[in-house]
Amino acid sequence: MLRMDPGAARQVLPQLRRGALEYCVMALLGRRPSYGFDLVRELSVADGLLTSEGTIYPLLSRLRREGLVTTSWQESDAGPPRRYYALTTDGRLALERFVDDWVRFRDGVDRVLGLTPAPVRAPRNAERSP
Amino acid sequence: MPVELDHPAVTAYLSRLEVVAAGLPPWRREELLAAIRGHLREALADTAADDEAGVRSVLDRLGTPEEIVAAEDGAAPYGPPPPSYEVVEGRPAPGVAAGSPWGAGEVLAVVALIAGTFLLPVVGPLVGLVLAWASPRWTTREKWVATALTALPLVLLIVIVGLVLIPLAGGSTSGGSVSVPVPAPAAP
Repeated sequence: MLRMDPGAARQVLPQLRRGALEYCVMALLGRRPSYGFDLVRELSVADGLLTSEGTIYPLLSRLRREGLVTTSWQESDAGPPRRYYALTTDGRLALERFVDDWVRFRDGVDRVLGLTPAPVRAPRNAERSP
Repeated sequence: MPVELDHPAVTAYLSRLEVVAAGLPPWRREELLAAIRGHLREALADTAADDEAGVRSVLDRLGTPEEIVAAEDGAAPYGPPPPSYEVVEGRPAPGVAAGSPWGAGEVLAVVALIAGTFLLPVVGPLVGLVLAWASPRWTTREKWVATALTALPLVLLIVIVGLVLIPLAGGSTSGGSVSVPVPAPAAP
């Protein structure tokens, strides 16, 4: 009985991760074109975002089929050429939309959870002032 | 010495991935396997060949083949392979990414092949074919298709004319020759 609670709480994380991961990948690619393993390294700073590193390749393939990223081969100084990914205009638009949605969502959840001290995001939350 | 992809644990992993990915479209399966091989090459570059724990940790972080293939989803239909798939792994394709099949020469070739047929009957299509064969953008196969399609009406015309005219010509001469020699042997 006692073991059920932490288990159920952990189930939330994979869902949140699945939704956010592709936009984190797109955000990294928005800064500069990059290859798979480099993305894996950069994502590792966000603990728990990419639990199975190999799953980034199906994700990148899907983003490419959706026209959100493009790929090209580039020579590497060590070993065979690497497949680089870059954000397309559509990808940039999708990312911008997500950032807006994410900020609204995060702020709302934070407020409900009582995590946001009111002044921090004051400009957006005028209705909180009274 | 860094770990190579022929490390037993790595080959076992890759062959299991190949089996688990059997349900994917062939181009996508090849692409995924190439990506994972590339990933392992990079991840194992700093791992010593006798560092079994290091190899295991790289494979653990990668996730199981089942997890990776499960992440392939049908939300975006696979369709035909994207154009850049024609690039063989390990060989960047110069110009393929930017490669439109249409340049000035190619447009002229098509104009000559189509409009030239009406405006300058034999010369137009011939110029079109020369332009088509000179194109650096079209493959030899595409050029043969263009040639065959251009020559097809001419070949058909010759065949039809042959089928119609030969029996006519043959019929009239044989008809004539029958009537003429018959009385000849009867004369003596």
